[in-house]
Amino acid sequence: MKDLFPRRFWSRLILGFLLLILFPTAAFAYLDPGTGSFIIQGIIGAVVGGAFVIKLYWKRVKAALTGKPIEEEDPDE
Amino acid sequence: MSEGTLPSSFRDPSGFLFRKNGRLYRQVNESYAADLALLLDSGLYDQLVKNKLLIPHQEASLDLACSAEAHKILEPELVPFISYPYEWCFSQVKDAALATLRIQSLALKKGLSLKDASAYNIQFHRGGPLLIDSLSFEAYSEGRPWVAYRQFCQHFLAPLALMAWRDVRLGDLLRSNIDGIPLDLASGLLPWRTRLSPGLLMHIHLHAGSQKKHESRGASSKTPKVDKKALLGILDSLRGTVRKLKWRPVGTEWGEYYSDTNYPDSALLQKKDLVGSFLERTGARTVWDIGANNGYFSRVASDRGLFTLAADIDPTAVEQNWLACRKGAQPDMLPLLMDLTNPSPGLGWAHAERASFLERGPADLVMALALIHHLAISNNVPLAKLARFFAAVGRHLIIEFVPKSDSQVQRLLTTRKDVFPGYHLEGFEAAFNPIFDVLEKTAIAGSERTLYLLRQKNGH
Repeated sequence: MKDLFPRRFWSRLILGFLLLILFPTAAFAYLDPGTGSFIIQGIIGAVVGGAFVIKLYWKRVKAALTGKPIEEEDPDE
Repeated sequence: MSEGTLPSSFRDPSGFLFRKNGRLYRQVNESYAADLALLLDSGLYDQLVKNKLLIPHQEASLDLACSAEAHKILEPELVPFISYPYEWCFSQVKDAALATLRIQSLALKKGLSLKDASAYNIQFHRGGPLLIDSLSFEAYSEGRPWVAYRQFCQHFLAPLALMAWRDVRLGDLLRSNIDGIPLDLASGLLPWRTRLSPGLLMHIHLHAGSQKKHESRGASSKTPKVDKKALLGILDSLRGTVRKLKWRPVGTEWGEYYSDTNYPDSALLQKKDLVGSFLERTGARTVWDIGANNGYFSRVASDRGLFTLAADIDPTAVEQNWLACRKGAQPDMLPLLMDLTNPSPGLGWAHAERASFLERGPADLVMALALIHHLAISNNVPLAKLARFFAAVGRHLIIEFVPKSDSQVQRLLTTRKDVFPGYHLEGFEAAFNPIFDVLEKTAIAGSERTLYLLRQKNGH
């Protein structure tokens, strides 16, 4: 019996799913944000995002150790 | 001020600014209704206004609408003088950059994001930088990169890096590049060692490389996911990079830079008192001090609560003035970088997007202290042309005539031929009399100089 869903279908489905996860949104802005500027954000974000989280935790650890309040970027929020 | 849509307000389909019956309004189009509601209902508008980061507005009647697509009409608080980033000193550009990043951080916490990060959307108002475009926000969509990242780097980071690392005069590149300094240009001009700064390496050098690599591809085809944590990390990195950029004039001592005047303290105080009494006589509300130096005499006006523009050609003087304004919280003073021999022209689309210096006037009163010799002798401008120029800048004029016998003028003439036979007090009065009436004329004791209060004759 012929497969209801051929291999090509599954490979396309998986590829489409991966694309959806990796590149989930189309960029529609009234100014051209620039493809290169978007792509570099993905790379920079991966590098500095982790560092930012560590920094936040470090601030909390420091605050716990010193007993001083956490330094907020926007204290007047 | 001409009525109708402002010539700078056409790019964003969310709405535009227009003048009607002498008042400034903003039309918000239906397409922006949801984002405006989010800005107001999320509490972001109130928070930003409270922190002096966004211009406050009042809602006006929809009857004022210019077209059928109008959703709301807003009347923003008026900014007395619109300045442009190529007229800002280093620390003004830096403060505007940090304000933009702070706005974006606060916006993200409320589920919004800046859709543009144009330096032209920031104005110095009541002593600090704030956003004047209430339509710059959109709903934040998780995973989406910051659409205004490129614009932020071009409008703020690139000029700041070039001013700090190469030469402060490179801020002028913002005048020739109306959408900010292209990153490949900035990357090429910056010293190699800026690649050792992680922030400049990522946001300028690698960013420029990525732009070049992907320049031929469409924006919608390949958008990477940037989660909120990564986005906050990018903002934190930009903030740190901007904060680290510093400029200090080489070989100058801040405190002494402008203490080198050639008249005694008593003359300085007399001149200050005279300027004060002249100002009060005119009842002026807006003052342009052109050739203001570090704003010493501009403060005579701003301390009286008059809006005072303190323009000077020297980046050090303007920097010093801005830092003093910021420290002393002087809400009525705006220091500005301006070369009067080549003042800001009309720029952008149809020469009308960014107004020329004179188009942004006239002021009620112009102050031109210790200036005339620089224009008449260093720049060879005939006195009659100077009179016409000052008449275009403002109705009243406080002007100091500095004669050839003055040591400052002598210094200008030491290395050149004196081709100014008409440059004397009588020549000055003959040139200015056809346009101005003399209201006051006082010799400054202990100096060779004369201070005038002039008023334009009717019909000029």
